[in-house]
Amino acid sequence: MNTQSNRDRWKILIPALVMLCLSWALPLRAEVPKAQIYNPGKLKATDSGTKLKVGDSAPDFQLPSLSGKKVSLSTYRGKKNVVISFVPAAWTPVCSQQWPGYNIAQDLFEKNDAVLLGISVDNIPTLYAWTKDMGKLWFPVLSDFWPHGKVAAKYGVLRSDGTAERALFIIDKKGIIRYIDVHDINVMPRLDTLAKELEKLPK
Amino acid sequence: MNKLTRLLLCLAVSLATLPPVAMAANSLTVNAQALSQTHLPIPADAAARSYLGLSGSGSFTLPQVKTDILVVEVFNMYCPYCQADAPKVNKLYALMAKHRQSKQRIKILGIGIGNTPYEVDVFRRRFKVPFPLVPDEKSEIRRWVNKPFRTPTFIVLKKGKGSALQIMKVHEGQLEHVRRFFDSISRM
Repeated sequence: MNTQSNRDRWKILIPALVMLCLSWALPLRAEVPKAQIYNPGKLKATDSGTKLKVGDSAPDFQLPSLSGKKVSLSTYRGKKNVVISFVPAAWTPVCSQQWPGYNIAQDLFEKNDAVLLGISVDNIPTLYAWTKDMGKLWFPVLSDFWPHGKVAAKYGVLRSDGTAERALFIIDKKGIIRYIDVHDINVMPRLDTLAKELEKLPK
Repeated sequence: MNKLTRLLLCLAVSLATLPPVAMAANSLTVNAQALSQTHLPIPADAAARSYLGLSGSGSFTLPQVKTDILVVEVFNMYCPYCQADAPKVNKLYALMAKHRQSKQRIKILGIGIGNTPYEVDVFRRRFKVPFPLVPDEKSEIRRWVNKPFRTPTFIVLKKGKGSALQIMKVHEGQLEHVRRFFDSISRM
């Protein structure tokens, strides 16, 4: 009698426990994983001082790109205007949206006979993993990892913690700097401003 | 059923209800009053104005949109998830336009949170968005919700008495099943 009663108890308890487990597991499975973005909080707006100014010759550089090729600024001399977008670091807020924004504005660059070079002080594997979710980027992504931040330092936009400023440089076909925006690192530079500055380039 | 069995069952049922409660505490809630009072720019495009039943220039509020049901897509031009979702949202619009009854009853409006008019226009052109998109440059719509918007987010509103808007559905993240989403709102 006692054995029968125990069996009955388990007949009720086992399905109840299964339901309990499912009730926990299903919502967890349906929950979207948190974005893999490290939030450093609000940072000092700018933390460097570029000596470069509009009208200066843009310092040349050569950096490895995600595609495996090395990219030199001088390659574009006499052929294309160049926009350089320095971003502080992979896997951080704002940066993770800035390039996807440029990625859907390809026509803005093409219309102004310009190429975009995205530069970060991260290494190639990090940039590869980070940019994978941005969709297929039409512009080269360059790694200024080693010697660490050499190009960022050349442009005066290497911050004291080894990251780069959120900075934009427009360089014309003669290799002359036409626009510099060392932006507040916490804030997205407006695409409108970049578009207006590109429109000012000699046609 | 003896006492122990009943106790264990009660415990199991109580625990089973906990996760949804805990999740509800973390879920996005939308303040209908704040939503109804927010002023948004009237689209410059005549076709967009006509679709929303608006006229003139300046600003409008959501209760002014001439529709029974309004789907609001909160997006950001820079957000790769919104970009990836754009073709699906266009498909949602196409389903609404194709369905005779829905065409009259349901409208869709995209709001570019933190975006300038130029940025919204880049998004519209890039993805050939056929429905109105308006910018919310100062991210005013942040006041609608209890936590930061995760873009894209879809808020389905139904007009009640005196044009009061009721929140019928909130969907955070990309639309995985467009047809299912459309069916759920077309039945409202």
